[in-house]
Amino acid sequence: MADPARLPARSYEGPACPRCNARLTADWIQTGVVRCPDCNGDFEAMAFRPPAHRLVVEHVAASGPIEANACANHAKNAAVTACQRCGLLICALCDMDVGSGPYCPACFDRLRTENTLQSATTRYRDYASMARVAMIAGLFFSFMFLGIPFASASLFYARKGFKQLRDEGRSIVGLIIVVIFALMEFVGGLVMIAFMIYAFTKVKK
Amino acid sequence: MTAAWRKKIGRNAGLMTRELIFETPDAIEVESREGYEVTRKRVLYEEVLLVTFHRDLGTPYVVFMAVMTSLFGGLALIFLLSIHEPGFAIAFGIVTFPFLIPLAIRLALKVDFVTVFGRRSKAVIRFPVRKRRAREVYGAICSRTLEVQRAMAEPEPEPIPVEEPPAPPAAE
Repeated sequence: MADPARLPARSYEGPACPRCNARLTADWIQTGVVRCPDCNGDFEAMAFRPPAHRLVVEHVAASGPIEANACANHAKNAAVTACQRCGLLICALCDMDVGSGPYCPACFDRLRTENTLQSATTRYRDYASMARVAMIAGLFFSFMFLGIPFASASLFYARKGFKQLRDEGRSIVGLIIVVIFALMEFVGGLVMIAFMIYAFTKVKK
Repeated sequence: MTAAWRKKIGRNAGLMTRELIFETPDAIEVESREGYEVTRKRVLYEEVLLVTFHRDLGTPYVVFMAVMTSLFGGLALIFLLSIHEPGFAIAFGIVTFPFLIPLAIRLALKVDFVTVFGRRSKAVIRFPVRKRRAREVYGAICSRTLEVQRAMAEPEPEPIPVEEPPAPPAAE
């Protein structure tokens, strides 16, 4: 079940005036220059009439038992594919394909809950940004010997960030620069500590 | 996260929103950022009902910038004309510029908005400076939507009839 705290405060209700957000009725959804009946503001618009989805569900009775197998969930429906994860034969109704192959509803639900189905993930952490911020914080606090922990955090997040960016097919150049700075911070921190120890031992002598 | 191809087409950054807008082969993708959490939603081309384009001033932004400009500009003038302290006047004058320049740019150019309304969600893209780019994006979204929805509306080709193989001779 969805977390109610994470639901958007105001639900989307369909096309509205882009200036005042007043909902537009079907008469006002038209191509050309439209004047909002509420705020009297003008806007250019292009209206579309999207065709309804045509989901063709074949029945086993229509094609015959030799031609088609029955769906595992709907005995009357003919199977069109098999689940990529469990191999169950599924009909067009059960085919949960979101661009990563066909899955049956049970497997799809499980993969989505585990966050392993990338194309169905709608919420994730931006590790590249986290790595960048940790690196910048390390630069600021390096004089307090906090460069090493911040650099470590930055490298940890960068490792996850690399995987994320590669999965998304995005450039990793920015993250490489972050890693170089984090390594410099780390080494700089170690040098500072070594210098401090050396200085203390010198003073004691 | 998506492995599919996508291209950044704009952003929607306001006082409370930080969104990046991407174009993918089948949808407009909106990534909202709250701290380090990224929430993604899609407006599928096959569900687009309305695409709009309008130009707006962005009143809260203009008011804020005008207040800051008049505050620091006023102080600069007070120091220059009443107290006769040109040093302070120059300092406040320098502080005024970061507010005055964006205010002048906003008043001159305004902001172009491209809004895509789908059946279940919408995407807003702001173009504060690049006006030609705004027009291009508006046109590109409209033509891509038209293309996808036309392809959906086209009737499926008739299946090619398969000839039945001759039946084997009946066993005696």
